[in-house]
Amino acid sequence: MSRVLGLGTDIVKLARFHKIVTRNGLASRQTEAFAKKILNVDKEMPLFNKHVKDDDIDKTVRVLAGRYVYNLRLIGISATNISSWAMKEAVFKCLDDKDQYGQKFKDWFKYNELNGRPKIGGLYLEKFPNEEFLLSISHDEDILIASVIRQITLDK
Amino acid sequence: MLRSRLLSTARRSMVITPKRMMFPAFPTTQLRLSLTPSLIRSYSHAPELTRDIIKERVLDIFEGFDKVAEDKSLEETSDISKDLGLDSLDIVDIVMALEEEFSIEIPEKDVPGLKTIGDAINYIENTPDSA
Repeated sequence: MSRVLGLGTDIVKLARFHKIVTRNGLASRQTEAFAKKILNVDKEMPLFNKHVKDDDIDKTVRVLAGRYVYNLRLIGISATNISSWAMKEAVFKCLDDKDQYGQKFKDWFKYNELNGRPKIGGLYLEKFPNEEFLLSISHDEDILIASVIRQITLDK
Repeated sequence: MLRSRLLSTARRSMVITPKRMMFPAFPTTQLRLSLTPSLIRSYSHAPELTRDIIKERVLDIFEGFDKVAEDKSLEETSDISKDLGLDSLDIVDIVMALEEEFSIEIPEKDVPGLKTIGDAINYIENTPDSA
């Protein structure tokens, strides 16, 4: 049995990320610094680095913003991890006020279960293992939206 | 070349004493010292980072940000979200610009404290490594 603790949503335009990356340069120190503020070092940065190395700005932007169309096994990543600014913003909105303070984007990451269902992982969940975050992401061309429900499993 | 020229000029200055200055009213050692070129290089240092300089550079960053309207009056009390209409992604962009401008790193945990332009100025003023 579960109980809902919070609901969060966020909407982003991919063009904004594209603009930031273009302005700074795909393989620039500034873009890497920007990525490091958003992405999880272990789960997400490898994918970002891969696309930068491939000089693929569109996929780099998708990693930063949260849209994804990848076969990650091809690039040697075991789970289907993607980044998502929108996901992380939505997650923060689910948290209690006292827990929002001090949260870092890079401490969270998204992954997909084997059946494709998106899940959210992060340091917070190690502290509160009875909680889970349900995620739904949708996009239409340049617009991406992420919705997150935070719930606690009472009989766990 | 330059050094030898300077030295020869200085030597000449030290040995040639005008007749009218046979009995100078001040100790000649001071004159000689002032004419001796220093071989020690002194490097200039960056001007002190005063609050006024910080404010000017911070305001430049906000004024140059696309989403901040040109006719918007920027004050230290201007709220970055409410008055300037910047959202979380804009704030990350601004924080990066501040980091770049002042050669510092602003940890993510400190970002929520930067609610107004004045907060940003205070933060940089209180960060010892700001340059």
